[in-house]
Amino acid sequence: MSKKLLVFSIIQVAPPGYQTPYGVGIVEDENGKRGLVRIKQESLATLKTGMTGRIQQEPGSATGDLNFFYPD
Amino acid sequence: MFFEEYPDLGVLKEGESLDVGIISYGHTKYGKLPEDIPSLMKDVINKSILGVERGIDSSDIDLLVLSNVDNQLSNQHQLATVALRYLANPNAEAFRVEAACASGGMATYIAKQMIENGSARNALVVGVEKMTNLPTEVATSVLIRGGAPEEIQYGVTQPAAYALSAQLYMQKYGATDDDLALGAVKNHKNAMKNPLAQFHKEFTVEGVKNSVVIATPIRLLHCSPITDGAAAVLLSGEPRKYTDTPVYIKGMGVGYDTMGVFEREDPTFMQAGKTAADKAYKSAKIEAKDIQVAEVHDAFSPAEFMAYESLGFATKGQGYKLMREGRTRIDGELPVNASGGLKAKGHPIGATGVGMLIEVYLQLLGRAGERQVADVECGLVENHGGTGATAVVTVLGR
Repeated sequence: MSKKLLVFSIIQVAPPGYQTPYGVGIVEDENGKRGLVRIKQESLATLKTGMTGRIQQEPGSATGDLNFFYPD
Repeated sequence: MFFEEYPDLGVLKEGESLDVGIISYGHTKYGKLPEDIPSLMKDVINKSILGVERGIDSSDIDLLVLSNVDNQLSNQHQLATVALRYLANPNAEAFRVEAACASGGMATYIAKQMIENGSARNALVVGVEKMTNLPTEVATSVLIRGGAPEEIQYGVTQPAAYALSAQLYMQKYGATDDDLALGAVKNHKNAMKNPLAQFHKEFTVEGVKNSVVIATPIRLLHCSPITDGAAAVLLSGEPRKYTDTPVYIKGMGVGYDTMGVFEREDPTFMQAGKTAADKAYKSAKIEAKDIQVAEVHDAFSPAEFMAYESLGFATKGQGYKLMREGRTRIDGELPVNASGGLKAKGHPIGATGVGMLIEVYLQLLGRAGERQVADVECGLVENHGGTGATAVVTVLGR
């Protein structure tokens, strides 16, 4: 399902264990339900507020899979 | 035994209030300090006891509430009991409070409540943090713990959480990068007149806008620093017994919001601050317009103008205009962060909320030196944790 990127931030300085830069954002589905996403470095250049994209669960954290945002 | 000795205290009934006041304080310089945590605590405890106008015996201070955020930073458990060494009252009770950056405000809130309910007569609130001994990246990994569990999992650092909130605010209300910079410029200018501040260096809007990007749109000069420092206030249920010039806690409130910015109905508004402010104004029987000087929690610059809105200094979406128009400068109609704020005075997390109280205490007593605001009778402190999940608002007056 496609989700809308409400807002994002590109993180340049992070604690040890994070490969910078990476993006984080808040997405919203068609029912208005919000969630956090991680955005990979290769997608950062194309990011725009309000754009849609697909969400894919992938390993990305020591505590489990993360939802990654891939722009449409 | 306590109630027999002090029959006038005891548990308050609804509508009653005990005039809890600040009778003394201790404050170290903020910055990169050589002293260790015990030395910092000893310094502010001694200053607080020795600073009481008519003197106080340690045996009359029956409570110590310690504000300290992280054991990894302090490398010490039972820190409140360590602090008791310097109080030298074997009958005093002590415990540690943690509410991230709001720890100092929360420790004060609890001490005040314990005086009001008769559990203590005089209480020392001690805030301390030692942060510069850790490499910056390690300190950052400690600070990220102030966010929601999901934010920690996704690598949403504290600057990034504020960045998300600030971006949404800018999109919704039209604030610009210049507006984000103005708080840092104002507070660095104010800190030039505060000898205890970490930084004595001014910046221009362009300088702030050209500083290193941390998490877009937050740059290095929007961020409060990593700081060592300690601060203490001595509270009393009978302040006039100890000084002719007490500063009273006229009202105090605590508020909460969701831990994560992403979970909030309106991520651009600090609801916890509003809840806390509403309670504080109600108990002080005042309105926002009665505040003459304020210290607000500018851990990241946009948090300052967002706090203007939660505190009722501006309506929703108008806080940045208050700053843009210069109305919160030290020579403005409502000076905010005359101390230099967290941004330039420094942010030793556990000490921060206590240090903010001391600034307003000094302003009320006319003892704020070169940064003194004229004729202050009512001041406010807003101290919040994380991105505003916990907030403590205190109204002080003479």
